[in-house]
Amino acid sequence: MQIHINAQDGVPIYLQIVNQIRYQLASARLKPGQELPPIRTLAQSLLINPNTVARAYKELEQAGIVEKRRTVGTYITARRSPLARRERRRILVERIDQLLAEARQMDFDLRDVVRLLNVRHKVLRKSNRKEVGQ
Amino acid sequence: MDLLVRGDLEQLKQAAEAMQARILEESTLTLDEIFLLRVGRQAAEQ
Amino acid sequence: MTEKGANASPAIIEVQHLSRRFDDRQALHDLSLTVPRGGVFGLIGGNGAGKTTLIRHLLGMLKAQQGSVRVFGLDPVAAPAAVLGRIGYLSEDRDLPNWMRLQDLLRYTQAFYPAWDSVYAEELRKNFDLNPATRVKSLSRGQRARAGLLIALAHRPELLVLDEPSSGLDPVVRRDILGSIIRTVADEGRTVLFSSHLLDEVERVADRVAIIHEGRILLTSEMEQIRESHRRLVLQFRKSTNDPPPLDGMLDRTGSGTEWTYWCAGISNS
Repeated sequence: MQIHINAQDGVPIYLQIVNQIRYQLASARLKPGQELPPIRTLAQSLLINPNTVARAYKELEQAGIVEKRRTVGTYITARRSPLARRERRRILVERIDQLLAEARQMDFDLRDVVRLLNVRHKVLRKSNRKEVGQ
Repeated sequence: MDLLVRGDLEQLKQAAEAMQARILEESTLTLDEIFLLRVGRQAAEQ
Repeated sequence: MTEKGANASPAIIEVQHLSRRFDDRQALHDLSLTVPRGGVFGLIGGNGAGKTTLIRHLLGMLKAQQGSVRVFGLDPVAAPAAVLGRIGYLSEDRDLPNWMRLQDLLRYTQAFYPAWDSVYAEELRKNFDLNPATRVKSLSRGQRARAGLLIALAHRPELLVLDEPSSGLDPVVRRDILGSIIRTVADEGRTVLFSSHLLDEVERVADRVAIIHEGRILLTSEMEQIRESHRRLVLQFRKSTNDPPPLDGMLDRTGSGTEWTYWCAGISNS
């Protein structure tokens, strides 16, 4: 798991961790059942306070994204709970809002956006197939 | 020394509305910015 | 809360109404500060703000002219051995005896600390890539800082005090220093007090911070709370104005016409 902290971008460090883990899970870079590094290890490698990592893990636990298994460690929740699905939907809605705002600013209307979405979907599907075939 | 209160953002929003103003952006600050604000204000008060 | 003698005090450092004057300059003004046990406490301020003067009081190197200083519940001037034996200290100028070889310096230092952990010291020496046969005077700036850090850490002090540990150092050595701070609190639940003007480092590692300026504490709180209670707001007014109304807790505002930026610290409770 790769996390990058920027102490100068104004977003609290614990939230940077939460957001990156959410994003990596949503984009399947993290898989259900996968173990997260122990708090101490992640704190050491990111050079941040262990309490900050603990706070991030706690937030993720409350959102149903990770679960603590007794004393053994912290894992990405195995089965996607409705909460996790709601979470993925939330991230997607956020991105769509951004996309729509930018599109409007650049004078594209909704029809243009939908058409482009379809085009890009086909392009991406094609390139994915190529990658798999190689 | 200021005592900081959680949940004050809502109050700030209400205060802005009371001044007939609209909040266009709202963000947290880095420690750098907070430090400069605090030290800068202290210098201005002297 | 029950009192079970000095060492049961929940605060590891308790400074009350401390004032200090040097000739014509008032270095500390009626300064009070509490550092709880466990965690990383960041003392932030510019040059000449009073960070080093405060730290020198904690180590018993300066006697309080007014007010009181307690570390582990003890007065560091009255009980220097009991206090200093439990503190690991790295000074800003990293003063080490130049004529010694590193191995002699380590032996010499070890004699002062019954709790010196030779295995840990050797591990740190290897990690920091320090050659024991080198004379202190020929160490590079970064190696000198690492040697000082080794000495501060190897007796596994209850309280680690670092005065501007990163100043003038390259990123690799700064990494070692931050790593040592984190290891100290993560592995052992000890307390670290460090002063710095590198605020991104403080933001990374501190649980609590105090802002010191011209010998006074302007603000002290948990890092998280400080972050959550300060906000920048961009406001749009209906009518153009040169003098928009103030907001409670406002620290500053700039702008013109209808758009103004406000910096706020929430609402003062007092």
